[in-house]
Amino acid sequence: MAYANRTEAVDMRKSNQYGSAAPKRAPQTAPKHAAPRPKVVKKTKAELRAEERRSASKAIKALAICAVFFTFIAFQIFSQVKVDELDRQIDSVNSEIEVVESENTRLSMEIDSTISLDKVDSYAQNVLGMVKVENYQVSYIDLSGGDAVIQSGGKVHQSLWETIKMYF
Amino acid sequence: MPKAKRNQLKNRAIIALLFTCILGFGAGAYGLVNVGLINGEKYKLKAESQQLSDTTVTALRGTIYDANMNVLAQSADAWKIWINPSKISSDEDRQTIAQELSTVLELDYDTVLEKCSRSDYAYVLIKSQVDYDSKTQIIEFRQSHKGYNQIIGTEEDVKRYYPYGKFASSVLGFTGSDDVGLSGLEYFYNDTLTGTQGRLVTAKNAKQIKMSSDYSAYYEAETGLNLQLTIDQVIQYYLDTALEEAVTLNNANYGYGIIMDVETGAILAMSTKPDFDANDPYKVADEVKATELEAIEDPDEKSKATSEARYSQWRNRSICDSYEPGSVYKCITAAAGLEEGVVTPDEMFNCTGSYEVLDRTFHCSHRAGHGVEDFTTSMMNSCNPIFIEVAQRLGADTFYKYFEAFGFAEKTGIDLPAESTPVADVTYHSRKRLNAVAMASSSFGQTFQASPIQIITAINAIANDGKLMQPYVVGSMLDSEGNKVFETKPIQKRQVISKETADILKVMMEKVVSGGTAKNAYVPGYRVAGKTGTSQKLTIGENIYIASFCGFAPADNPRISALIVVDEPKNGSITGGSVAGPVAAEVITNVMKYLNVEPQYTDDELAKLDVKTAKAVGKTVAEAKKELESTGFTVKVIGNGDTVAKQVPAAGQTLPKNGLVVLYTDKDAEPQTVIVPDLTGLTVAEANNTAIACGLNIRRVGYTSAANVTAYKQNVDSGSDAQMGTVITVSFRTEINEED
Repeated sequence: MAYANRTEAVDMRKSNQYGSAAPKRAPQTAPKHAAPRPKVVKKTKAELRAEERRSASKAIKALAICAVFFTFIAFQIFSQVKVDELDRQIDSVNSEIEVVESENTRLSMEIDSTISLDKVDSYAQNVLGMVKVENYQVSYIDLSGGDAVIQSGGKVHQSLWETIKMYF
Repeated sequence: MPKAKRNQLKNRAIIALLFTCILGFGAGAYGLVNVGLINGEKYKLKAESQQLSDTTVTALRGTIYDANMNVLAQSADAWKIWINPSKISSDEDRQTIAQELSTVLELDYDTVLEKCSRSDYAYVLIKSQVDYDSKTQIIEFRQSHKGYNQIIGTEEDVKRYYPYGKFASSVLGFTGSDDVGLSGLEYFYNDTLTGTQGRLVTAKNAKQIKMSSDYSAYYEAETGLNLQLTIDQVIQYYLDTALEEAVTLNNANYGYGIIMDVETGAILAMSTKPDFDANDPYKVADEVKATELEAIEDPDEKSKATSEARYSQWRNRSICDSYEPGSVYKCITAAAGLEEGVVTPDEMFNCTGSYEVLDRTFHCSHRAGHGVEDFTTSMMNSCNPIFIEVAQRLGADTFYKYFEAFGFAEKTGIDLPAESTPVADVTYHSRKRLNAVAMASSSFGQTFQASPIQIITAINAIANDGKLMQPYVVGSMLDSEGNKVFETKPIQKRQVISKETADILKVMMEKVVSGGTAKNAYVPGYRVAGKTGTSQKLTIGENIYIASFCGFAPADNPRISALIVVDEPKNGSITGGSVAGPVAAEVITNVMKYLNVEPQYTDDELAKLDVKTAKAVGKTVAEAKKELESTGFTVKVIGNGDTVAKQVPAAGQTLPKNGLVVLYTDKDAEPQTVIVPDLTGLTVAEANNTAIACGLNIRRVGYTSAANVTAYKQNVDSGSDAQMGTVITVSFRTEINEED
């Protein structure tokens, strides 16, 4: 009963058997390349069910492909948005670095200007009461002789040959 | 429809279609050819400008370091603040903006308001080189007022920082608002310092928004090379300080000086006083001059005078100016005479006070004449007639040969801009016009001009065993990573005299300092050699002088050459010996100590040396007093205790042999103070006695060996309070009255 209302494959030309209200025309010659008449094949219920399953499966596959495709597109768009966002962040951080570096230079220059030699000299003498170094406070060491190591007494390491020579 | 008619319609339709196709494709093809070939470049540029964003990446200017890698000039990003006055709709907004900008940027309100009123303009620059804090304040202000985003704008700029302001400013120079060097090293090495600009090319989408980095190309900017100078910050400081003091003390127009490394010709210090703050080069730094300019009412005259004052303060007089070297040139005449064998150091001469050449009579600075003297003594006395005689013996050809050889007819080639160019028959006598009279005056440094850098380079050749070096300021160039990409190799231009002659001259010049006209340049322990010069600025007036000293130290193994010039001293003393000599002594003493040159005292010098104070703290008063008095000190005890708790000056400090040591028996006792007396004008003994009578000590600086030596400055102002026992540094000099 489930298939009682199914639409059967119908040859519509059969409907002409009941005639028409329109005036009859002279029979026309069939076109040279007229489409072949479709064959009417009667399918069994099982075949029809299988066919239905196949088409449902196809639809699901198509849907899945579409879903994958759209997900891929969505990921692409999302990743592009993310890349753009990160690019903007990188630009922003680079700008910040530049500003901070410039500020660092400016502040370093300001610090340097506060510790210029004339200011240090003036502060040392006038505030701290320091005096400039005198010659007598400096000891000069002559290093023109080069470096030398004086070994204190102890066991002298001799080579094997020297040890043998000692016996002769 | 009949078949024939149908075919005709069909054919017509085909023709129409064909025609449409041909027309359409033809137009398309023409369009392609036009866009691709005929106007290809034009459309390419249009497309690029529409689709690409091309941003210039500014290359940071290289840094300038001193010889020890201390930063002397460095660039950093800054901002320009501009406004769009055409968008200001009301007077209220105009005033609000002008008020804020003038306050934050420290500008004159009326000037800013006037700029805000230029409603026909869309861009008016308010201030360039604005720092980050000020820019942030202005952006916050802009954001807090609706519509101001379209009125106030900022854009990137670069600012050059000179941390020590006036320090070596005439050598370093400065840059303009576009970061281009305008003067000094900044100008001379502009291409080296500037670097190469970079580019950032980015694709834009249909909405003109920059696309991701996948669609961009970045060509990195190359930072300019850094310069490492031969100038040493400490030596420069010593020279700057001494010259500044000399200009004030002598009420002079200018003071300029150079310190050179003898062996290489590298400039260790170069200074011109007064100079300017490189951070604000357009401000007239000389306060007196600035006040005079302010007083000028006529705007044109004021503008002209201001401009002249600026150019004057930017001038590196050690390079750009020239003057008659005066008696300093006698060293060159002597060098030529000794090298050519026309004179020996011991040859005897008789100075009668004048010398006749053709129809001209030249006088000695000592009009009565120096009498019989040897050649060395004539140099010590700076005796003009003897040097005229030596020049006459040399003859014009040989005299001119040495003039040229020592570099007086050419530029030295120093790597600084605007070096004074010697011009034959204008600044000096060409060989053709060097007649007997011109040669006579030239023999003692008159009637020709030379720049300070030429003079020190020539004298340096004597110190450097006769080798004439090319002076230079930049020692090396470094890339942004600090790698050396270029190193200056010292250039020996030529051997001008033999080592033997140079050695003889060194001895003679040392005698000029130890007992001649350059006594004030004498420094115990360091064998200074040199020659003084006093020349008249005859082009300006009769009694206008330039006092100079040029020499080197130590005489037996020279390390540095020094030139000190005081232009137009107007405080009594005018001679090189009195004015420039003490400055040279001060600078040479400090530099020798800084370079760790060990002083070598003669027996005489040792005998005159100050004595170290012994440690008295912890000893009984009686013991301490006995010990100190036995070494010649005067002792004053404050307090009633038995043991010394504190002493002034501290143990180890040197004092003159009868100096005062104050002993406190109570560690917490209030220090006794006294008023510092005026010691200037007093002799060494008078100054010492006066100081001790007031409860103070003196430290003697300068030449103190002659009887007529007097104090000319002290480091603590008279009338101020000082703790009893304090050591006051007093500088002495002897008056050299004859033009030397």
